[in-house]
Amino acid sequence: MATPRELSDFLASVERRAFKQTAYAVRDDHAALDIVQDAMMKLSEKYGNHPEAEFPMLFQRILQNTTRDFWRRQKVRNLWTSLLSSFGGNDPDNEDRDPLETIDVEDDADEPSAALARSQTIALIETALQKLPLRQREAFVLRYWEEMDVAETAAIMGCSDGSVKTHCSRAVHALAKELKKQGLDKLGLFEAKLEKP
Amino acid sequence: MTTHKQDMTHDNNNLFITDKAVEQQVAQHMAHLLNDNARRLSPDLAQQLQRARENAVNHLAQKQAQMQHSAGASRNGSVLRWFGSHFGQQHRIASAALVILVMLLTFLAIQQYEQSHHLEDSDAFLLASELPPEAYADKGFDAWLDTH
Amino acid sequence: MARHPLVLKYALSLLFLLVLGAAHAEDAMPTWSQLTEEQQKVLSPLAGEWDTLRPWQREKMLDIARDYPKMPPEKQERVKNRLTNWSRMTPYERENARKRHQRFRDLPDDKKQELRKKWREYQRLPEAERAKLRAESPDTYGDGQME
Repeated sequence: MATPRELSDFLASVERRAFKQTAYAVRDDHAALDIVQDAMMKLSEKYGNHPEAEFPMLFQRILQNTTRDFWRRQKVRNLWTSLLSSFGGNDPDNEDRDPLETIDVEDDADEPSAALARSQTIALIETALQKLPLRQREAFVLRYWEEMDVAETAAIMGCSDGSVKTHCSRAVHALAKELKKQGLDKLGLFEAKLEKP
Repeated sequence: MTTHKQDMTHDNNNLFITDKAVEQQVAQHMAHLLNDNARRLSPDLAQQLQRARENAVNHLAQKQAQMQHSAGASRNGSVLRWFGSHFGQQHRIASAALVILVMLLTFLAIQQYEQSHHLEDSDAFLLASELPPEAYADKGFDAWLDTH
Repeated sequence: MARHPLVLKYALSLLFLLVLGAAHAEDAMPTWSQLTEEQQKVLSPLAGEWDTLRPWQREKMLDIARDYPKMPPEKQERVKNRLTNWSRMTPYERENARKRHQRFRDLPDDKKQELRKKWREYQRLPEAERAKLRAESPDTYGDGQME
């Protein structure tokens, strides 16, 4: 059984990235905050008596379910975007995406400073991540950001191991493609990383 | 590890990652940047998250304290504790019975509802009809019909 | 618990059984591999995503599979073709669609023909205009009333 101290340590370690992950999914900082708050309370209320080692998985699952509940409560659903949903998506709950959305890509004639390059990179990755279909983004976040293994990811997402691998692979490809499209390769960071032995 | 040329087939429009290890590396790099970025949250947001965390932790602390407390023996039994400690024994039984009755009725109502839904046609008939499902779901079509 | 211990105990056990029953029904929701061959054939467009569907979504789809064999081949064809899009709609959209479909069924044949014509006409409108119409019309379905 977990102690309040253990819960506190766990939440402190996870809260910022949980917030960011949720913000990417729902695209609304305020809503993301609410969702994370809810999730924390649910973890405490329903699973506070579980061993602390189970918290990472439980919390991710709660976070995802709470996010889905949020979407369900949303009133406005655009049929157009559902129809345009050729996300390779296996996903009735796919969030609205505006296909007319355009991204401003800053045109850097000069060699950017390290900090500027970094923030530009982050901005592009964030945008690309938000453009991902729901399942792909989930798989990517759980596998690579939360560093869960395939089985854990599959359990949280409620799908098979094979699906997880497929979603992950597609996610990475899609992200890479998007970043290249947005000119990330101009900054030389992307390929430079790949060339490292 | 193989060279750059062998890892990717690279035409003007497409970046195609063919090597699994490369895919992993790319992903981890991105995740690393994202995580880094997440650590630098604005102080305002960080504070709100902290407050949420503290609420959750206090809640657990209280719960555990309560459980310790009620673990002790009681003349009235733990069941009646669920329904509040303010009321007398009579009231406790009455409200317990009421809660159970409401739950039973709700459950039966749900069963009824589900049954009646089974008697109706399934979505199959909708899908097989002369119009595609998008036609029925499209609010714009409905609105457009009002003026045409 | 002094006066009516037995009544309370019975009521509580009954409640527990009901809750367990409900929970069990949920667990009985089959995975893709648990479906019969017939069902898998009908629902094949959903094979990949079946295990990600929630229990109530699966139930709805199973209802479709139940009625499918009784239909003539052209209708079966339509069902198969439209199944994927159907599964991608939100619960709100589907519930809206069901209501409108009910109304459609009650129309006389000539009115139905007219509606088919109108649908084709509507589809020829530019997408921007259709999007505008959708955005401007109110939700016909309230909150909390979902499948």
